[in-house]
Amino acid sequence: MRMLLVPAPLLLVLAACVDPYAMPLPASPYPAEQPATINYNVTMHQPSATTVSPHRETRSTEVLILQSTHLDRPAEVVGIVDVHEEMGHHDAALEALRRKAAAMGADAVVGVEFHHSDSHAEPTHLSGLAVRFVSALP
Amino acid sequence: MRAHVLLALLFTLPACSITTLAQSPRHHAGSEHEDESAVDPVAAARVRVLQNETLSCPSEVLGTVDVHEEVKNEAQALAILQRRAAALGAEAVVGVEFHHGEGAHEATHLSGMAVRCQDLIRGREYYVIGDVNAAGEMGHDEEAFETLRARGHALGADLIIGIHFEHGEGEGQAPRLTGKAIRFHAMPSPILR
Repeated sequence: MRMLLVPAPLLLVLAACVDPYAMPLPASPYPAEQPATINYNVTMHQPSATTVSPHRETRSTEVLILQSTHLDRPAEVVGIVDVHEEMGHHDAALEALRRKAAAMGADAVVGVEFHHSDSHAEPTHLSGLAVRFVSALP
Repeated sequence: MRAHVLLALLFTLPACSITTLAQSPRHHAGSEHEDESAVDPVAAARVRVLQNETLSCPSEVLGTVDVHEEVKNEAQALAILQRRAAALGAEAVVGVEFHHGEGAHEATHLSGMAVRCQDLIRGREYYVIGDVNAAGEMGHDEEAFETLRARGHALGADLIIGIHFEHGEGEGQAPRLTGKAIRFHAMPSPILR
């Protein structure tokens, strides 16, 4: 009797080690039509260090409009923004400048220039460089 | 010593000592853009356009690049600038400035310095001979570049470091290049062969 009691716990422990996935699966009710391997046709791409960061839009309210060209951090030029508005619509021009820069993914517009038109028939010009702050440079 | 001394242009940046060397006159400013058509568009698109004069590596100034055109689509001006820089073999355009022309029909100005990562000092000791500067006519920035090179040569410089470019806004303001002419202590310099 004692000889039978000793292996009983051992059998219980070993039962826990059985791989349930190694056990035969129950037969599927569906026909086996799937291929053994699936090719997803994936291409691996290693971007270079100089790859421009992906375009992202910023919120126009977050775009800084600066007359100065001096920045205290590295910035990449993402475009030129130039807004032509009728005389007297300066606020609209400023807002349009922000919107355009935001659509480019810019964090700021620097070196902003305003050119007043000589006559009412000519629009005013508000322009600058749209830049995005970057942490790494080439 | 060869008659044609190759003047080095060094571009020293605020955070790190960064230099450049122009080994031969290569400029793409004004209307001289004959090599542009041969530029690979993918290579041109890789040229970084930076507002600051800051790179993380020692760099060599290859020339000034500018776009003086009535550009309807501003994105076109940026692409032209990249193409001109790529034609010089540049990795980046730094210190980019934009100036809108007066009125709707005047040319816009987009300019900067075409640079590539290259350390031309390579740890050598040098002393400063003096400041050099040059001004050119609007639309002919390459003249300022050549004048700076010639003035450095006249001083017997091995390199010009700390190059700064100001395009100016037109209306009497000429493009201007400044820098410091230096000479290496140990001779012969590999630049002056």
